[in-house]
Amino acid sequence: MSRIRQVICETEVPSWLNSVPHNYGNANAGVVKADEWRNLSTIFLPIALISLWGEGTSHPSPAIAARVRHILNHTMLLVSAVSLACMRTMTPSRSAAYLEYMTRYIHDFVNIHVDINPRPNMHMAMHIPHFLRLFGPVRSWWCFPFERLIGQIQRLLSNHKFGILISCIVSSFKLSDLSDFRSNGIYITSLLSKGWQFETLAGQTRLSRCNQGVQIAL
Amino acid sequence: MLFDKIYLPKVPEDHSSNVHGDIYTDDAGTMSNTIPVDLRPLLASFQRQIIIRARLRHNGVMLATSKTHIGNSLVQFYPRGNRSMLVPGSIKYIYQERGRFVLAIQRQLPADDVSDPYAIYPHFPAKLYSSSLSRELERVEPDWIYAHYARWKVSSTQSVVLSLSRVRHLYICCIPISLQSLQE
Repeated sequence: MSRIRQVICETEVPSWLNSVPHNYGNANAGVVKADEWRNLSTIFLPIALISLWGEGTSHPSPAIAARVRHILNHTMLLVSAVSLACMRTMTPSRSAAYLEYMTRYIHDFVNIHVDINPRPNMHMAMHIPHFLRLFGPVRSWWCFPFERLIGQIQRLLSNHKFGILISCIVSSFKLSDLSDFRSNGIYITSLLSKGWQFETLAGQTRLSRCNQGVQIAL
Repeated sequence: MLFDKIYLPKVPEDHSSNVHGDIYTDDAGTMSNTIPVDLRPLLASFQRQIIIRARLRHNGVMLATSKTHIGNSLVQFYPRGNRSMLVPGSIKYIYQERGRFVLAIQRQLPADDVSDPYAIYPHFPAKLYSSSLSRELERVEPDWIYAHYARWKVSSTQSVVLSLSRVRHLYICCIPISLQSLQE
């Protein structure tokens, strides 16, 4: 873990690349976001692991060396698959290579990590090549723009009450002066778009719901 | 307004209006800034004064000199505009030449004759290089820049260079070991 943190701290990267928590792995590092996971898994983690376990590194015994090399190669299958899936251009050969990497990764997973059950994500990952062929690069159809919008909306200041409902508008303006009510174009437009209309009968103005028999005297 | 805040680009794409820089002259006695000695070979012999700047935005990407931001200075480029090969290097100067800015780049030197542990993974575009840079500067036009790269110093003499291009992989054509052999 210290090597991974060292790589995160010491790697020189351009300013457009989003940062990754320098204390990655600690409880106070916070939740690692999707983009940070991507940068971790495609940049920092493989650099650190290859420097630790790759060709030319020394280990206490040949058995340990073989074991860690096996784990490294297995991890690199996933790294390669993620790198390919995140490319901004997509070709049939890339999609096929992704499928091959992911198939091999899942196949070896149960042999290497015998105490861990396969995850549902593994099954879903096998559907991605199909979508890559149908829709192109993931960037054009992934949900992160919507997630970002949700995140912004969640951070908006709110009084923890739902928005104004039609009945609330009607009941509040029922008590107010009609001229004020009519002057508020936003509410008028909102009501009219939802099927409400003004009626004047025997000198009295009513707000009625079209074809539903609902009438409110103003 | 909410959508603008979330989805509009954070930085303007156009960089043409931002052309300010520091003036460097050939005459050390009269100006505080003199033309750097290592930059002189790239300049025309008659050029007595140049404008040097710290940053340049090109196609929405920020490029900087190594003194300003080391990460933004690490770029892969096509040497002399030759699109058949890519070379990593660090921007040392950004200077004006005939009204437009060009880059003076030091190449990342190749690693000594050691095995490259990063080379066996064809879809992980990392490669071992020497930690040192070439002394000679190379003139590079902004259009010859391909992408940024990340660099981590493995040891005092070696650094690993990882292409950050998300369009295509740099070293895929020169990987000797295939995907099939990786799985075996």
